[in-house]
Amino acid sequence: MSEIDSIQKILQQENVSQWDIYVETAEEYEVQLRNFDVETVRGPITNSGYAVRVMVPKNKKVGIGIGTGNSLQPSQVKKCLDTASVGARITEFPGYAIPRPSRYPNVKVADSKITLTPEAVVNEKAEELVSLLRKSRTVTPTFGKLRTYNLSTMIGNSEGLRAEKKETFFYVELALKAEREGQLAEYWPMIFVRRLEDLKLAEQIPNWTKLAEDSLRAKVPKTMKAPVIFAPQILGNILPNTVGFHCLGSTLFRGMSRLKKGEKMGREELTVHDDGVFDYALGSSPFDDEGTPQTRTTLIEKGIHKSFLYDAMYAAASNLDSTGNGQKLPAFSLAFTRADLKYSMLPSVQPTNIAVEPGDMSLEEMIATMKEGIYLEQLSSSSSDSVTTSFGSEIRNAYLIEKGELSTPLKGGQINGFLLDSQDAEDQKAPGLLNQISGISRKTLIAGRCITPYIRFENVQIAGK
Amino acid sequence: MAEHISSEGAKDLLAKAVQTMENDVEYADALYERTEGVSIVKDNVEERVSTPVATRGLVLRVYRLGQWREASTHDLSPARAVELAKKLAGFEPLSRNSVKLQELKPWELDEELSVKINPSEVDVEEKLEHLRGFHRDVIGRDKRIVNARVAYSDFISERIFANTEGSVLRQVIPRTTLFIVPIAKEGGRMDYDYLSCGGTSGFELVKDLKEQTVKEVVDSSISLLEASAPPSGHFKVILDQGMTGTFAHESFGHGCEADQVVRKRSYLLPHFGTRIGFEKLNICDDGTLHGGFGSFLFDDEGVKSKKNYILKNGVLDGFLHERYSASAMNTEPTGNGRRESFLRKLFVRMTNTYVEPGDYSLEEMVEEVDNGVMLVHTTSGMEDPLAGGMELKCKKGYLIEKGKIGRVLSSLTLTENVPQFISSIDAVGRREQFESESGTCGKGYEDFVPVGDGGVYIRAEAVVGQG
Repeated sequence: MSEIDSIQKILQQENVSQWDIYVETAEEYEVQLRNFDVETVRGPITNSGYAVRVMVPKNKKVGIGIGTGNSLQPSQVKKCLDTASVGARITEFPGYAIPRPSRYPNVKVADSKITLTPEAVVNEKAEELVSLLRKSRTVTPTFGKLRTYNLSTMIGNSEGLRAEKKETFFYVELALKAEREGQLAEYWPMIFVRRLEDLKLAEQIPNWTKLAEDSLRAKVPKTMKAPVIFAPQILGNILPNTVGFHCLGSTLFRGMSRLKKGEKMGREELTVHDDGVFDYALGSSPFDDEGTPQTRTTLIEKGIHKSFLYDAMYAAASNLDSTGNGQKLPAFSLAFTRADLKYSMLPSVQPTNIAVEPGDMSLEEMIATMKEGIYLEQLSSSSSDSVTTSFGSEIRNAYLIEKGELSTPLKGGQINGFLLDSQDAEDQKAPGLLNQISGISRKTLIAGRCITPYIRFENVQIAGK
Repeated sequence: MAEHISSEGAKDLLAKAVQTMENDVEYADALYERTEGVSIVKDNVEERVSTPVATRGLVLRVYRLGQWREASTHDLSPARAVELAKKLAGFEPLSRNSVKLQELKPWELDEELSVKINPSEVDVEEKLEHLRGFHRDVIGRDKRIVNARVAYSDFISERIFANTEGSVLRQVIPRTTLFIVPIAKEGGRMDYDYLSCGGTSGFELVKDLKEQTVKEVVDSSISLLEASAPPSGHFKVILDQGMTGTFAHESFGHGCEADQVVRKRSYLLPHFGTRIGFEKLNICDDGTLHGGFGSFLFDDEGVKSKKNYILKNGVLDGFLHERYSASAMNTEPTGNGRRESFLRKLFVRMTNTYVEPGDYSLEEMVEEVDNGVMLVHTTSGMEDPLAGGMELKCKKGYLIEKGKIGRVLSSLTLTENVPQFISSIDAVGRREQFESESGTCGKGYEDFVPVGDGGVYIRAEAVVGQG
């Protein structure tokens, strides 16, 4: 806590009474591959910075300013404090309740092997990856990237709160190329995990290899409506930005949420939590980025909307308690690659991990009970519109399902829809995907900011040839 | 934590580091980076003044037998720089190849890109007042505008570079952006359009914004309240300047990045030197474009920025290079070696990528379409460098029926195989249509750098659906 103490001394000298300090230190090691060769070895890669927030009460409102810095030299801390003080003086917000010291849940967020030997770990995993890929005679890697993160975070505030954590991440991205008679195809996986045992490279590579190979004979689907099974990695991109967005207290406060407590928003099979304390999930932590304990909040229970999520700002503005959702990273999964720059970001209300409760079918049963449909493994961007919950994306790796079995691989064309019911005129209104669920798998996976099963939706729009 | 150092201090630090590395490796360089500025967001509820991603640090890099070794640090003490330099200088490559890095002539530069109104000389309170003015203007125009988000940021990127060939370079690039999103709501329906502007420019970007431009984005948001869902299927399409630029960048440009060619991950490799599109189609990447968001003076390995044609008269004319890919392919680097920051690796990256003007008016393009879709106001795109797929998304569109622009459409996605899309382009808009927009580009799933993209209206064929 020495950095916090140093900054706090200057805050006291300047008579700042309400404040919080966020300090982050990051160390990374990385190996990048060009085909089977090591292209670049990087490390150590170190960064460290802090943010000071100053809160100034203004009648029933509060001004909040933030300054960030990388140097603890008193003149630089003072410069950062000046920036924060100006921000607090000129801005207004409906409320802010500075978190008080609390007991934090015991949540696992670090892998000791990454903590202790990060450079050796990244080199070993790069070797393992190359060795496993060399055994495959049908695909070659075009590029690969492996990186360890060791992050230390400290938070302190004027209420006497002091919190500290150490966490780890491991990032892998690679592209596997299949080639036959001049035809090219690839599978381009990305994995972001907290611990090595979740990487499962030996298990994954045969699946990835098959996806790349099958893509060589892929066809563009026809334009149609069909039942579609979404893999967890796709839901991991779509759910936080759509369902998550409409469950935020900030969205509700702005009058922009489509949800009301107690109202039906999806099929009865659907129960969803914001689970900030799930061991080793990416958004898990003992405390959020304001120092409030993270917890598990039920968002949807049997299709009924239950609650909204809050940070310290919107909780105070709404006369409620924070749910531990003050997050410095935006909701999209890939934001974690920038975890080493969290200190320079402002906290806002964001989901921690969107956790969809498992169903009672296996993936195989879901496929076997379909006459015709699509199994969707990977989309191009999976991006979606928070406000309208509309999404559309190019199909990268998918399969047609015919008579209960995976058949022709698909690539190209698009998949389109809304997560919540569309807002078009009555005669054009389309039900949202959450109201068209026809199957949820027993198996769940950590995928980005989600812990989610495979989910089958009916009547999904496909645009193709 | 870091020591605070001046630009001159950073130059001395780089000199020490390079000197430490120079005797033991084929090549070494060092880059100091400082990014700082201000970001302001205003909507109905919040006003936030903060610092956008602020970094200050150093990256050292050495090359031996076909492999790079790097280390980065926020610790700017001479002792740490020398310690890292010594560690790098002694490295043994884990794999080897025969690519020898081509030598480049050393040069020197120390330049700060000038802008009309230096943002650092404008008080933050004055900046916020301007944003409050835009917010009031947007909210006050129509009762159906229930919220408006106005976001502004200015930041300067100072980069100082030195290498074992003797180059010593410094550049300071200012970038400013403004984003206005009026949220319209009527009955149960809510939608929005947006205005985005940005460039290597100063606060004039805000001061010179016309009232009419703000009015247009408000009207556009309201028009989306009555928008229809887009049709699904294969159509004749017309892309506005932003969509054209996103096509030039995401769909075509990424396939022209030579690091992908070297690793045999580009669908364009077999097409080099051949005609793949309309003879009036020219696409270039131009790091020198005046005011372009992706413009700079030299790249992150000290190569001067320049304008490079990647498609000339429909012929695939060249690839974009950093020093390694240029050496491996026996050609010149093109000034496209860029890093997100000192924390990330250097890759071949685009700068400002655009389609050069042709000879069609928009009216002529529309008149010749019997059944099609016009796509405007791009929101995102995604590359597929190996397989040549494409995905472009936009906020708004129009049906085109019997040569006339018809119903408004909300949120669209366009997909197609890129070579098929390029071969279907049959009309390129005139010079007066030219616009370049600002954005950020990732390499794969991360490594974001500022880029510009744009051009003119183009007409082609593609699959369209909801976005």
